[in-house]
Amino acid sequence: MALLVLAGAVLTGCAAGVRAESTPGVTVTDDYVYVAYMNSLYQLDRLNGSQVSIFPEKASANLAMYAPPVAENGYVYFGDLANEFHKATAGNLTQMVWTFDQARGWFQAKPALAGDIVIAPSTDRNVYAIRTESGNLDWVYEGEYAFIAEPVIVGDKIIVSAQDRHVLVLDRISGQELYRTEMTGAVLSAPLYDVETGSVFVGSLGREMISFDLETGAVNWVYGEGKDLSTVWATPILLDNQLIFTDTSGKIIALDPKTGEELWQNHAGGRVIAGATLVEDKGFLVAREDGTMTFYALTQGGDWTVTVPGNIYSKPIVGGNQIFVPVVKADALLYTYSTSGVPGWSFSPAK
Amino acid sequence: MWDTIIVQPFTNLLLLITMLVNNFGIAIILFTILIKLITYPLTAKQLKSSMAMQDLQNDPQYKKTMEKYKDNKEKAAEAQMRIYKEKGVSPFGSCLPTLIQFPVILGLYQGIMRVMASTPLELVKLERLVYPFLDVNKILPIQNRFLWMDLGQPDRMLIGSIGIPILAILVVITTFIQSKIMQPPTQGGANDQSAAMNSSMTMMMPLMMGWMAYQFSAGLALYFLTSNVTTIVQYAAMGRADWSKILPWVQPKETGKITPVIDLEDDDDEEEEQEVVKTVKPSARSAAKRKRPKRKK
Repeated sequence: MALLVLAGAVLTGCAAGVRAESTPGVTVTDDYVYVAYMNSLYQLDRLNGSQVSIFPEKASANLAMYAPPVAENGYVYFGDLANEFHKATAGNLTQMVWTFDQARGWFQAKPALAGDIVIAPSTDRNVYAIRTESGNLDWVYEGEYAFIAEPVIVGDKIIVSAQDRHVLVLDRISGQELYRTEMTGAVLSAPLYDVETGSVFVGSLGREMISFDLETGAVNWVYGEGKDLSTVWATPILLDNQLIFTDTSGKIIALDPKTGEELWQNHAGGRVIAGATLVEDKGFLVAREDGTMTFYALTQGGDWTVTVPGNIYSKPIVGGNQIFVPVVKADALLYTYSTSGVPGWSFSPAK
Repeated sequence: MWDTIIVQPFTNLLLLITMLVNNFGIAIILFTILIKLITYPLTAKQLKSSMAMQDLQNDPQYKKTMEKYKDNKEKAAEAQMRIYKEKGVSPFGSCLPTLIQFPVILGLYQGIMRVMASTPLELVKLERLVYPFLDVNKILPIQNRFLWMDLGQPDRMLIGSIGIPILAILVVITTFIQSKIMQPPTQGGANDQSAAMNSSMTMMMPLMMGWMAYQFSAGLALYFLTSNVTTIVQYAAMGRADWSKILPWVQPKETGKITPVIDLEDDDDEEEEQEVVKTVKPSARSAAKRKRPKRKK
């Protein structure tokens, strides 16, 4: 009995409050930066990082948020781990327009806006299409496993990464599955769509990167077999006619997006989960798990490296000439840098 | 260190079972039963030890000695130790197995929590824990669906539009049964306080465990339920379960018998007559070590 009491006490202590651990979900708009982390969603001034508003006003141990919100036309759409999805006023997060509460699982993925609906994947194996005006359910797609990656909207199609070793392509209007592309491992990140070629690129835990045609679903090429590739967690980038991605061992690989042929390979020098981030027309960033972030410039001599004081598991976000780096195990949740590597403001929530 | 020695092996064992049976719910059940079986010798030792201590608490000779030295703590402790030695009972006999089991229970719990990774960060951490011979790509994703449950979410069985927490209810019931059948027999006098504590614990524990099962993921609740049922079965198999405490139509377990007073003490007890007392059935070991009783006329 004593053992039971002791174990119970310890388990209660271990498990009370927030029931999941994740990285801060960050979204950057022209004026604001939104940071979803643990019990709060923070709205910050993009220029100096000062807090503009917070949701909820009083933090609750039963409410947690990690999914980056999506903001458009003066409204912010975000989900939480209490299985609810909200639309709030961008100027003040506590001014709620509606709350959708029909999900039976957490909202962990960044939602995507598609005209008058917002697409919200949930860990209850459903992808919800919610009407932006009313908050009513438009349609629901029932999958096999929890959805944790941001959907990609291309015209009337919605591309959704699924953990059940598939990439799903859904009809935006009806939510019907148009087709699915088979992968050899779970797909944990959003796919990348190339407007020019109409191709979709996506990596998986099956140690592969594949390209398929969005219109037909036909696989263009598969890279990985016999290549000593580790698992691929992050979305690739397209830069200068090269498809660039990283694997967890730290390899940086560039492929020809049309053929899948390897162009070059480099190494980040440590584990990489966050992948590569595009810095428009300049180069790309690779953030290692240990906080070392390197900028690889298109032009020679433009590379730089900074050490971010924390662990990096999600992609840095580039907005204009600012880089926003969400971190865990650090004094702050978010560090900012200029695109030339000069540190800017950082944000730590008020205690 | 803790992760390497305790959590990592437990996590990999659970993953291995999941791979073999291809069902996470069944894997949790098998894993919990397996760990319970492995730790059974410790559980048995702990139960035997605590029962022997209970026997002793109810032993008239012990009571008499304690009463005699109630004003002299030093002498009481001395006499107490002497009786422990005579009866072959170790006061720490139930503590050590408990202490050894505790990291196992924590490891079991943490292993289940790690495998139920549901965020990318938790998946990264899980990937790092997986031994190289278990291909992480073959393991992930883990199918959380089991019967009507989503093991990663709190259990609610939808009946109409109402979500019924079936697992939480079962956890409350089995924790209550477990507490009740393991509750030591109540005695009067000095044991009043501990009896009251036991009684309130019997009510509090099921509610606490039920609240946890209601609040947290169904996978954890399934572990609580399996653990409770296994403990009840183990306890019953040891012949220690008193079902009359929960089933009124069952005859109460024989807890009393006439035993002669054992005189280990001084001559001033000489005038005392044979006493008829009720005691809990003594353990075989303590009975074997017991001094041959002297009957007094």
